[in-house]
Amino acid sequence: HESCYICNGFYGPNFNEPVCSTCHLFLYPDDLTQEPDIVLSCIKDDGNDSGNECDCPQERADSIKTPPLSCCSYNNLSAAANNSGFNGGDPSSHNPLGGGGGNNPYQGGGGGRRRGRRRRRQEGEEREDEAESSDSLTSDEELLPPAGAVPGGHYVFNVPAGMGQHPHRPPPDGVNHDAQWRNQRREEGDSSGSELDEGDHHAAGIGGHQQQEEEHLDNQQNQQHSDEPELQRRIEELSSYNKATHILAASNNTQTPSIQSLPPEVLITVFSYLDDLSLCSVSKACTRWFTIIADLIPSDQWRYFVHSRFPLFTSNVKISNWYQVYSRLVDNSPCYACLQHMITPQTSSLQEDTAWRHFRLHKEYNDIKLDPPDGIQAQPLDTKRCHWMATITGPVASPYEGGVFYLYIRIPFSYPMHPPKVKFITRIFHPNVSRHGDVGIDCIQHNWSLALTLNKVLISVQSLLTDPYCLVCMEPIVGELYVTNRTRFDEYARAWTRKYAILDTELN
Amino acid sequence: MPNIKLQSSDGEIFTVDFEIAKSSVTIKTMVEDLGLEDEDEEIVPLPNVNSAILRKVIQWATYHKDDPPPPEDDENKEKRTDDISSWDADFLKVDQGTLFELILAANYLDIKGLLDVTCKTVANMIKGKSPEEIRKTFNIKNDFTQAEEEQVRKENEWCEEK
Repeated sequence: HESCYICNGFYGPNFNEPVCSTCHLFLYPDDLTQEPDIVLSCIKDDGNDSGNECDCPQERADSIKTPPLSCCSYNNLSAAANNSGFNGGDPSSHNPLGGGGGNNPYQGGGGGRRRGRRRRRQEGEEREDEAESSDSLTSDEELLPPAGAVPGGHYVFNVPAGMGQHPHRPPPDGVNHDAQWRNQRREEGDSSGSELDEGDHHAAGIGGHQQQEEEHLDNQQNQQHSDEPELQRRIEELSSYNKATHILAASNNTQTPSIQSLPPEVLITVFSYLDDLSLCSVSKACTRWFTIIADLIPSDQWRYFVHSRFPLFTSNVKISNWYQVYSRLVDNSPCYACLQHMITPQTSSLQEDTAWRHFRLHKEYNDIKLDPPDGIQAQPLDTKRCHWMATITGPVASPYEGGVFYLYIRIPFSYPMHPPKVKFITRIFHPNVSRHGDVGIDCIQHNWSLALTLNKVLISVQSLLTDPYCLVCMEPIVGELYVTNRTRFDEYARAWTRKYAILDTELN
Repeated sequence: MPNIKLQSSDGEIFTVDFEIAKSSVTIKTMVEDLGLEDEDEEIVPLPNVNSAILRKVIQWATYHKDDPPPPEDDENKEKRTDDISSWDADFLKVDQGTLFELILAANYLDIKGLLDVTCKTVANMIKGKSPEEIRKTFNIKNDFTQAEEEQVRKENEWCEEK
């Protein structure tokens, strides 16, 4: 996840999550009293719908008319994407509500990545050039180590130096890499002059740079190359600048204390205030914290966390390390923020359960408990039955066979007038499940009906696993793969199932 | 009421009411052990705390001088982090470096109230964040092995293949 797939990074970093926190707040508010716009008579009411979701009435109408299993999430996300997304996103219309903008993040992201790869390949060639020409380097070039010695050195050359930002890979850890890092900076510092003059980001590496230099050297460059101390000084400046900004953590140790300068007992005090999910995050931040958490929280405690947060978790193998179970369950979830919502249920105390809702849910729960459909389980997580957890076992003969998929269901207070929200909290490779876990199924969106129950919704989701609906997809690329290359699709789906939905093999 | 003189690491001397300074268990024991109570001129050196931080610590201790002693830790009670008073919250609106220095000072001086409230503040900064976000927030280097990193990359492979 290089950037948020809703806003494409417009609202800020997403920290490897599919959706950045801003978009998450808009799209999936953690407030049960806030109801979605979807009402039972959705199609008739279309004209009255608030306009801010979709500027183009035509597009809106299209998405409403989309036949069964409309992929649209709460706000016609993918429908809009389908209409305009394949032409590439319109960068000017980053709308967190995902409507009219139709900025198909998927395509955009993929394109970016492809471009990235192409560029890297290009740089690879440039590096070869550079290696060839390195024999004929001038004297001050000999001061520098051959570029080939620098791992990942080819990243260096596609950006003008001194831009402040350093988009390169962060230096590998350890002090001995520091020297290499510095060397990278030197090369960059050296080539920066001409690159800046040309204003070309894609200026060639040292090889090309050397030739260009010979052809049109400007005065400044000349001076720099003849005046070695000056060059050295500038290089030093550059490298120290970049060190200052990018190896901040290291410099923090000497200047102002960083969090790592806190002694373990203080960190333990800090961690003692954290909930289980945050503790899990903390343990994954760095090895030092991992060790502290491992000492602080015994396996039994994690066992308790697993059972309280994932009550439907069962295992056929004997588990010795419950941290691992917890950590896997968290890792297998596509969205951390959603887990957070589920795990700290914000049951509104102000809101009262209506009698209708209460009795209906009571009956639904009894039905599911007494006579669960094959491969389906569900259980409420709080007393007002706002938050539920469900599991669906991958249907036999589908690529999901053998996997156990966890789902999070949120029931609004206006249920059953409004549909429940259903989300996968186990990653799944499926055309109708977004990378964020949202299920693109019409019966919990505009086709919700009072006749439907949680039971039936879960059965629909289960059947969706066997038969994806590819005319409208949450993940168009996955849908395309399903249609064009079933073998490949099955391979991926099976690999994902093995990786995310089958815990036993790994825990054994 | 007698005063006490505290000397920061950079040599600055602070004259503080002993009742206030006593909120630091370290200073309290030091004074009691050395029998400094009656001597006004004695200076207590605090080599681990610089003047800027010591000033803040004294400011905090002065404001909280009438607080009841903090309750003993109860293991069973759920620890809350949303009970930071608004004065403390304002007081702790500082950059991370200062916050950590305050924690270190509170730890060294053994001021439980200040240590608790600063640790809560850091806990609030951690809460609800993913590992990557925590790393970015605190500038922590990800030092897990390459194999694990590799795994993360593999997760997105299918979209690159396309």
